[in-house]
Amino acid sequence: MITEKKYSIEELQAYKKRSIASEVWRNYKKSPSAMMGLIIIVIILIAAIIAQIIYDYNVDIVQQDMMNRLQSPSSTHFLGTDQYGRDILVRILYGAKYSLSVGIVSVAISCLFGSTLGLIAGYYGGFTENIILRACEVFMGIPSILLGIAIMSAFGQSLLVLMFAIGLVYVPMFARTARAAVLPVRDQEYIEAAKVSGVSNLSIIFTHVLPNSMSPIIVQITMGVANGILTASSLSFLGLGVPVPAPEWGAMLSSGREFIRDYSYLTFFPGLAIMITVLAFNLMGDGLRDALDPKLKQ
Amino acid sequence: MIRYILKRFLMMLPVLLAVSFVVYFLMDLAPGDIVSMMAPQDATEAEIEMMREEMGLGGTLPQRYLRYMVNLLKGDLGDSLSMKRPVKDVFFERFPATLKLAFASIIVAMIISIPLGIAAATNHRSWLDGASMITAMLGLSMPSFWLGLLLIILFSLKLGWFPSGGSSGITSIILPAITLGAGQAGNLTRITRSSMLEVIRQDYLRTARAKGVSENKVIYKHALKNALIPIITIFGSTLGNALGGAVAIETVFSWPGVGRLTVSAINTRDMTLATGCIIMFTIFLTLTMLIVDIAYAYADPRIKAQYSK
Repeated sequence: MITEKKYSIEELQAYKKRSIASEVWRNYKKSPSAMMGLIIIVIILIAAIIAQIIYDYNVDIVQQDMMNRLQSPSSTHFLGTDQYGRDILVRILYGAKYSLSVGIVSVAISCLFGSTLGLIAGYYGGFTENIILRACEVFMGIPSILLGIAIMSAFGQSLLVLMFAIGLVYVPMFARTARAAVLPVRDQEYIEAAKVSGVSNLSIIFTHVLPNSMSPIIVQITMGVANGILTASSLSFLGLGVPVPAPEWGAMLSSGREFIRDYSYLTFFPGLAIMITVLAFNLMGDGLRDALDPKLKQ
Repeated sequence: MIRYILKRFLMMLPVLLAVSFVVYFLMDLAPGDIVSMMAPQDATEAEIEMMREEMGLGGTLPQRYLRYMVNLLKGDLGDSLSMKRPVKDVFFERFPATLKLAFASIIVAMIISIPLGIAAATNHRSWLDGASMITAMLGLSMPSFWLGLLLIILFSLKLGWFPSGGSSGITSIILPAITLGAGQAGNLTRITRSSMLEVIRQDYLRTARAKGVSENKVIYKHALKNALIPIITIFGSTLGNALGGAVAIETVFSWPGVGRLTVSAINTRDMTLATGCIIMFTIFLTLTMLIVDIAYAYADPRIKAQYSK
């Protein structure tokens, strides 16, 4: 005998909500490389936070100690000291906050503006879409590093400008991703149904279109953090990012260049830190893409 | 076909105009004024203003931009303030070096990525696949200037095989080309692999195998030809990435290209030179993308058909 269990609407909704998130997580967990990316990111985040608490910027990070300059890695200074006698490991740990915050804030900026523009372009189509796409073309036409250089020299070098510059550079990418994600959703029957029942365009975009075109945007966010960190460190390396003496990784690498012949660890470790961080975000992005859309993996 | 080319070309013009305005506007905002830097210490405001007029830097922003664009169309980008020479001459003197580096890096990228991508796809889910994907991921995640410095440490300082910078002879391009190519290779390997995986499942490959064609021939003759299409399609953006990436690499290897020129122009506040370089660079890139697109449309009957009426 078959017994039918009755579900209340609330129960069903709760079930549905849980299942989307947990299914993505279940798929994500299956990939060891994706999990490794996530674990590395968590470790870097924790290390960065602890470094902010235990180290004092003026004493541990920028104060010079010429007695101990250019010491090779040892048990007192695991990664050695730089030309001003500052501990490289401490500076790298403390400096994680620059790369992470530039990556995250700039992606937040480009995601917010880019996705909104992309949603509008994809949803309304026609003239609006044309204008937005042409504007994107303008900003994509300029190589991102050159656009970054132009913005940095226009508004001066600071962490805030760097975040803004990288954010602006990647706006078109989000706009295009969001637009492409909206296109297949736009002509679905449920959108038409919502329109017929008199729902406003704005609320259709946010309640129906956006949730159904989220996956590519989420993937773009993680990849965007990776690209943002790389571009930011290039700009700092060229002397156009976070100004010295802040321990930004790209800037540390650049200032170690003079000593490359005899003290190559000065350039090696900051670069390694950049690579590991970027790698972690890339692995996470790959894992998320597979988890959000298992079909793609085939 | 003519209609397609014409349409694409007309669509490009407003974009180029907007690009030039954005760059001009940004560079105009930059603090640090070369005129007051060059003026004698005791110069008065009026004298500085006169110097500004003489150097062609007077007037409001729209006036200056308009004058700049009119001159640009005449082929005049102004004079570099620090080098005392026409920007156009300086740019075209340096540009071939950047192009050479970009093309060399693309060749390096292809030499690395195509065999790696094929190996990964034909041995799907084996250790070889995993190893090539990890390599590709590392290439994508590595800051290129760091890789450049590591190569300098190993191959020019420790082993002394290649020069660490400059552009004298064929050996000097090897390290910068590998550095710039490695980043591109990461991307291209992933694309080769996924497009190869797709092609391998096609019916015509099964047919070829059923006919008794040898496995090597199936892979290299039937599959590879089709798998390479996406790589050719993205040639425009690959070249764009290579040219953009060259900016940092040229600085690392003291390569006498436009990228290093632009960075040093910014550092010396020579805004006429920097603006000219960025605008010319972008125009060149946009034109290249257009040519690649047209060539692609020419080669692909499906795109051609859309515009043949």
